[in-house]
Amino acid sequence: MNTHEVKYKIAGQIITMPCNFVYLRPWLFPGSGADLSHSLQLLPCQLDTFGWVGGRMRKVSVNVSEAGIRLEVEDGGVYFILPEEMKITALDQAGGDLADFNSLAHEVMLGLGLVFALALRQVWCLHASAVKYGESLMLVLGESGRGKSTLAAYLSQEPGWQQVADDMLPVKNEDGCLYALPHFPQLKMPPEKQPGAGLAGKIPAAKVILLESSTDPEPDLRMLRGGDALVTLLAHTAGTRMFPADLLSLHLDFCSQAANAVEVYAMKHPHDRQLLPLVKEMLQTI
Amino acid sequence: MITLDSTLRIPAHVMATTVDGDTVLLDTRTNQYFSLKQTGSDIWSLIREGKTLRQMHVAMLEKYQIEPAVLERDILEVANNLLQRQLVEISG
Repeated sequence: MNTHEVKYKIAGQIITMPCNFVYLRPWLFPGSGADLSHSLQLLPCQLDTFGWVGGRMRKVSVNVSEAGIRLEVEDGGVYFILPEEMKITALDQAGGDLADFNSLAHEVMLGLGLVFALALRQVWCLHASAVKYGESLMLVLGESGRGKSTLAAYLSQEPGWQQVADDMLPVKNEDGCLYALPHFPQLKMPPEKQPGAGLAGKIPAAKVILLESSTDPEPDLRMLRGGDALVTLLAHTAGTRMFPADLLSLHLDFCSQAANAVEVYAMKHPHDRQLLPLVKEMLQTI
Repeated sequence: MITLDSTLRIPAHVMATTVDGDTVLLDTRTNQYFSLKQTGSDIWSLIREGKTLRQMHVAMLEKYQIEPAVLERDILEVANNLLQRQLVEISG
């Protein structure tokens, strides 16, 4: 037992981390209790892939066993996700405790580590910014550089709008609804400005907006249906490239239900700051 | 080679779900997904039922107002596309 372990309640799940994280401070869980919700039992498997970690592409090896999930990041340490205890631990390459967690270890634990731990409870992390307009929560998806954060930051300054997430948002299905779980670290924002800190832990999502690149001077909004809506959700979930087959299958089911639970739109988005007021008006009308 | 007398089966690494009549296939080995619209989605559901392509042809002729030769070409094209992407296998 590591005496430095700290419990946090992240996206509704009590998760034990091996040290203090300034980004998780708003969600410190002071109790000694554990979340006894059932975690998925995955079939043992081994897969190697590549992911963008610590500023470059690195090989990531994922090993699933009865004990949990072992993640090995090229030149970045070894991490375990223990599903029953919902605990994330880290070892250095030689197998000893990482006495001094460097920034790469922080990134892995707050990124891939949390993504995997939450997926074991069927909470999936979308690459999304999110904003509330009145009671309507909109999730904004798009590839890097499409303007998700810029749009969310702009809207959050406008009357009636509030930012919920900047870059990563856990979501889950419950009773036929899609819920956002905004108690989750937004690593591209300062720790003291985490948008989820003052919000309810669970907010129903009404709409999903996919930002698409466009050379047209005007933005354009259209509704996506069926397979197009489903693929939009599939394509913007974090970590899926590293998921074993049984987790991918559950994620497919999740996206199928979520595509029925929310309206999904695609917006041709010229990513021009001068057009943001027009984009705001368009989003207010749907 | 696929003919109308071929039967296709779905390998274990392929998963599928249907939303609003569209079928989305997931290749869990590559994490790639493929969306099938109306005709492709119908063909997929008939593959799941274990029909030969000829049986599919008969069933779909009853459903769609389409020239038999055009439908045959469409079915073979979809089946070959699925086979090329290893989303189906020939079972007989």
